[in-house]
Amino acid sequence: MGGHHHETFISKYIFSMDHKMIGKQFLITAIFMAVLGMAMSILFRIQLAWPGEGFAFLNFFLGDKWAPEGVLDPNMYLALVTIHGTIIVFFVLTGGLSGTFSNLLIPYQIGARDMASGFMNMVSFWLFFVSAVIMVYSVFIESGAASGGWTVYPPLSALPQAMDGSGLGMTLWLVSMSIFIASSLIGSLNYIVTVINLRTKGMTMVRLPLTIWCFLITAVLGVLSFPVLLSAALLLMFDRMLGTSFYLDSIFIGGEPLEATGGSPILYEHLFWFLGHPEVYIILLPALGLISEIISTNSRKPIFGYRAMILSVLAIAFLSFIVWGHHMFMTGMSPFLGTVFTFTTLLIAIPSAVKVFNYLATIWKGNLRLTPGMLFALGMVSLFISGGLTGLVLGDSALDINVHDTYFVVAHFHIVMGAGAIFGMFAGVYHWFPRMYGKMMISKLGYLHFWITFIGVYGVFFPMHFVGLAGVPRRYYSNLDFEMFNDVQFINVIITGFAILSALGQFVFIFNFFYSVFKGKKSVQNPWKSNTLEWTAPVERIHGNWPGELPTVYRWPYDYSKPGYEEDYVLQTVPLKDGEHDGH
Amino acid sequence: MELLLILLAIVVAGVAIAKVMKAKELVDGLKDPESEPISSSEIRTNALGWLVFGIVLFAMAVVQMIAFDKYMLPSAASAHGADVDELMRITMILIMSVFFVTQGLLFWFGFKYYFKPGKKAFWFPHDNKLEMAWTVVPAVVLIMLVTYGMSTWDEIMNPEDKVDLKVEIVSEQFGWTTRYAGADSTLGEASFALYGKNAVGIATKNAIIERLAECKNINTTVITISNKAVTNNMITLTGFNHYDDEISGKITPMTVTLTKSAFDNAVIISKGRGFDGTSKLIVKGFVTDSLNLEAEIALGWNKDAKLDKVESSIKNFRANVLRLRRMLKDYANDPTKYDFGKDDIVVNDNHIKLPKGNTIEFQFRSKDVIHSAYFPHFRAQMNTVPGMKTKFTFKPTETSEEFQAKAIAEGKVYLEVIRDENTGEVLSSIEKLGTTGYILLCNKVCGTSHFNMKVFIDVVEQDEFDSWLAGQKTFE
Repeated sequence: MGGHHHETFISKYIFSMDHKMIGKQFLITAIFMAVLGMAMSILFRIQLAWPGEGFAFLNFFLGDKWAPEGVLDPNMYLALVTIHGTIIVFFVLTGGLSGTFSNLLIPYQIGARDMASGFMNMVSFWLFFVSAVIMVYSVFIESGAASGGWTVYPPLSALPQAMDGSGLGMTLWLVSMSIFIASSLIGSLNYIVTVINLRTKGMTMVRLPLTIWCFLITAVLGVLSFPVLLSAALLLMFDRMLGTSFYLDSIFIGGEPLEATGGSPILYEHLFWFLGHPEVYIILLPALGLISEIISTNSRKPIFGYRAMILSVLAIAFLSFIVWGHHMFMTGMSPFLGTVFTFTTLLIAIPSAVKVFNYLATIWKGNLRLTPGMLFALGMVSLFISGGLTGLVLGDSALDINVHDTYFVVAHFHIVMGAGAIFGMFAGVYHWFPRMYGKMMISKLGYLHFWITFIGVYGVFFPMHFVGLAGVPRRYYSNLDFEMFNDVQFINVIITGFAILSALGQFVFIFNFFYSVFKGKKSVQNPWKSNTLEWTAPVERIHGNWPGELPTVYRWPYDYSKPGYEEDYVLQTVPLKDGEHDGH
Repeated sequence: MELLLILLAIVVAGVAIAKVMKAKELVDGLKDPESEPISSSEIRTNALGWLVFGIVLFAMAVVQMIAFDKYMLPSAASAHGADVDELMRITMILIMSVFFVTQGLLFWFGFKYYFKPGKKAFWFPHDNKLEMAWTVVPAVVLIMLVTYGMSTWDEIMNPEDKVDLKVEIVSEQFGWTTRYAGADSTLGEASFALYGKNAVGIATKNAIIERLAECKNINTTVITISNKAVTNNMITLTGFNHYDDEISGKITPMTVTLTKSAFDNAVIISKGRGFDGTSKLIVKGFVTDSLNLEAEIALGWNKDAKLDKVESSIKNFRANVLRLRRMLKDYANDPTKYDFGKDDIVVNDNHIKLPKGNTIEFQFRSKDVIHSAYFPHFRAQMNTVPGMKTKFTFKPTETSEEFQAKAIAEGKVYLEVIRDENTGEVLSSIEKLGTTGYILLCNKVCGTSHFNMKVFIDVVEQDEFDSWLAGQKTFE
C-alpha cells in the first residue's frame, strides 16, 4: 500500500474508491443541493413577504403554470416548502455533512489508509447521487413535487385525490428517500466498522478526536433509526399502490367513502418520528464534533472536559431515541405519553448544557485564533444556545399546545439544526479545506461570508419567533387571509429581506471555494498547527494517505499549550516524555 | 416600507463589506512576518466585530421583545390558558436569563482572549467540581421546570370539572362543521359512511336508511350485462341489478336501452369482475364481457378514461353499502346508541357560538386528511385525525366583547387593512387598538387551501347562547 496505482479519469474522479475523493464528491453534491434548497426558500419567502404581488422573474423561472402573472401558485408553494425541507435535512445536512467529513476525516484522524470498504463507500455515494437526482427531478414533473411538508403525513400523502403533489411527485419522493436510506445505511456501517477496526497503533478509544466520536455515534444512530423510516416509507408505498390500509381509516374524500379502513395515520407519525428525532442529532452531532476540534485547535487549548463531552454525546444519542413523541403532543395520543415525552425531552437539555459550558470553558483564557472556520464554530455555539433554549418551550407539552406548528417551531429548528449545523459544516470546510485540496481559501472572503451569514441568520430567525408567538401557523401560502395576522406581516418582510441578503452572501463562499480549489495559495502541511493525525500526512493527497509506515499515536489529540513544551501544540505522534501524563 | 427594509439590509451588508475592506487595508500595511495563515490584525478586527455583534444581538433582542409585544396574542381567554401563560412567563424568564448569561460569556470571551502572538493559552483540560456543578444545576432547574410543566399539562388534559357542553368539530378540506350535543347532552353515533348531505355523518336509523336508498338510486345503473343487442342505432343491454345482487343476494333482471350516440358518449369506467366471477368491463355504470372489449372500443368508447380510478370507486361503493347494512343490523341490537343523534344540532356556518363560563368538551373528527384545530386565543389545539376521535376540554372565560376590552386594556393592536375590491390593492392600513377576535384555524398542512381554513368564534353569555341554540334545527 501507499504507492500510486495507475488511475484513469473515471476511476479517480467518478467511480473513485478513495475516501478523500468520495468526501469531495459528497461535498460538491451537497453544495449544489444546498444552492437549490436555498433558492427554493427565497421563492417562497418572496411569496410570504408580498403575497399576491406579481414578480416577472418568478414567471420567467417557473412559467405560467406555477407562477401565473408572477404570483407563485399555492401548490408550487407547498411543493417548494416540502422539497426545501427534504433537500436541506437529508441531502445537505445528513448526506452532505456526514458524507463529506466522515469520509474525509475518519481514515485520516484514526490513522487508516482508507475506509474498511472502499467499494461500499463508492456505492454509498452513487446511491446518494441517484436519490438526489430523483428528488430534484420530482420538482419538474407536471403534477408537481410532493407537497405535504417534509414529514409527508398520510392520509394527505397517501391519497392522490387529496392534492396534486400526492400523485407522481409523492411516489418519486418515496423512491428517492428509499434509495437515500440505503446509501445512508451502507455509509454508516462502513464508518462504524472503520472506526472500530482500523485505528492505528496507540489510537485507543479515549485518544480519538471528538470528531471521530461524534461520527461514530452518528453512524450508530443512523443504523438504528433509518430502517424505521424505510419501513414507514414502504408501508406508505403499499397504501398508495397496493390497496393496503396501514395508515388509512374512515376517510371520505372526493365525494366517496374509501374502502380502506382499519389503519392509523398516527402509526406513520410514530414511525416517522422514531427516525425523525434521532435525525436531528444525526445532523447536529457531526457538526458539534467538527466544532469541538476547531474550537480547541484555534483556542490553542485542550477541549475542556474531553470525557464529559463524550459522555454527553452518548447521553444525547441515547435520549434522542425516547423523545420522538414531543413532535406528536397534539395528535391526540394519550396525555400520559405526553407527560413521559416531556420528561425525556427536557432531560436532553442537561447534556446539551454541559456541552455549551464546556465550549465556554474551552475558550476561556484561550489564545483564540479567529479564523473564518473558528468564527463559524463559535457562531454555531451561539446558535446552539439560542435554538436550544426555545426547545424548552416546545418540549414542554403544556406550552407546546399554543406554539405547536407555528413559526415559533420554524424559528427554533432552523436556528438549532438548520443554521447551526450549516455553520458547523462551513467551519469544517474552512478548516479542512487545506487538507482536502492542499490549498488555502481566501480568508477575507471567508470573513465576509461569515458576517453576512451570521447577520442574516439572526435577522431571519430571531424575529420569526414573534411571528409564531402571534399565532401564525407554518406552511401557510399567505398569512393575509386571516385579518389577525395583518399586523405581523411587516416582520415577514424583514425576514425575507435578511433571507435574500444571506442567500446572496453564500455566493461569496461558492466563489471562494471554487476559486481556491483551482487558484488558491498552496497550503503548508499543518497550517493550523493542529495535533491530529490528518496533518501529519503529506499535503499531496496520496492514495493510502501516508507514504511508508502508518503513524503511531502516543497521546490524546488535545495537547495544546501544554506546560513543559516550547510550542503551543504537540502532535499525537510525539511520544510522552518520562513521567508525563497523557492529557486529560 | 418594504423598500426601506431592503435598503436597511443593503446598508448592513455595506457595513460588513466596509469592515472587511478595512481589515484588508490593515493587513496589506503590516505583512505578517510569521507564517500564520491569518494575520494578527485580521484576528483583531474580527474579534472586535464579534463583540459588536454580541452587543447588537442583545440590543435587537430587547428592542424586538418590547416593540413587538403589542402584536402578540392577548392574554388567554380560557381558564387553563391562564396557567399556560404563567408557565410560559416563567419559562421565558429562565430562557432569557440563560440566553443573556451564556451568550454574554461567549461574545465576551471571544473578544477578550483573541490571539496574540507569543501568548500561551491556559492549560485547563478539565475540572471535576466545575463539571459536576454545571451538570447538577441545570438538572435541578430542569426537573423543577419539567415538574411544573407536567402538572400543568396533566390538569389541562385530564380536567376534573364537570362538562357543561359537548361540541363536536369535524374538519374537511377546507372547512369546519360544528355539532352541538342537543337536549340529551350526548353526541350521537356518527360514521364516515354517511357523509354527504349529512355533514357530520350522524348515524340515526333514518339517516342510515336514507343513505342506503341514495346508494340504490345512484347505482341502479350499475348492472352486470348478460346480453347486448345492437339494432338501428339502439343498444339494448340486459343484465342484473348490481346493487341488489351484490348486497342482498337477490337477482333483479333489468334491461336498459340507449341510443347509439348516448352509448358513444359513454366513458369506460372500469375493468372489473362481475358477480359471477368472470372478467367484466364496467362502462359508465354498465358491465359487459371483457371479450367484447375490442368491439366496444370500435364503437367509439373513450379509451383514455382512468380505469383504476373507477374500479376503486366501485369497490368503495360496495364496501360502503355493506358498512351501512352492518350498521342497520347493529341498530337492531342497540337502538339507543343511534338515537342520541336525533336531537343533535349541526351548524355549518363560518361562526361557532360558545357560552361563556361553560366547561366545553370538544370532540374532533376529520373527514379526509389530518387537520389541526387551533384556537390561539384560548391556548387550545388538537389534531383532527381521520378514523379517530380526539378531545380537548376548555372553559372560555370572556365573551367576545370582554375579550376585545381586555385586548385594548393590554395595549394590543391589530391592523385594519382596506383593499380595493377589484384589484386587491391596499387602500389604507391603520393600526387600531384591540383584537380581531376569536378564531379557529387549521394548523396542520392539509392541501392547497390550508392557509384559508377558518371559523370565527363568538363567545356569548349563557342566556344568549341558550336562546340561540333553541332556535336551531335539530337533526331529526
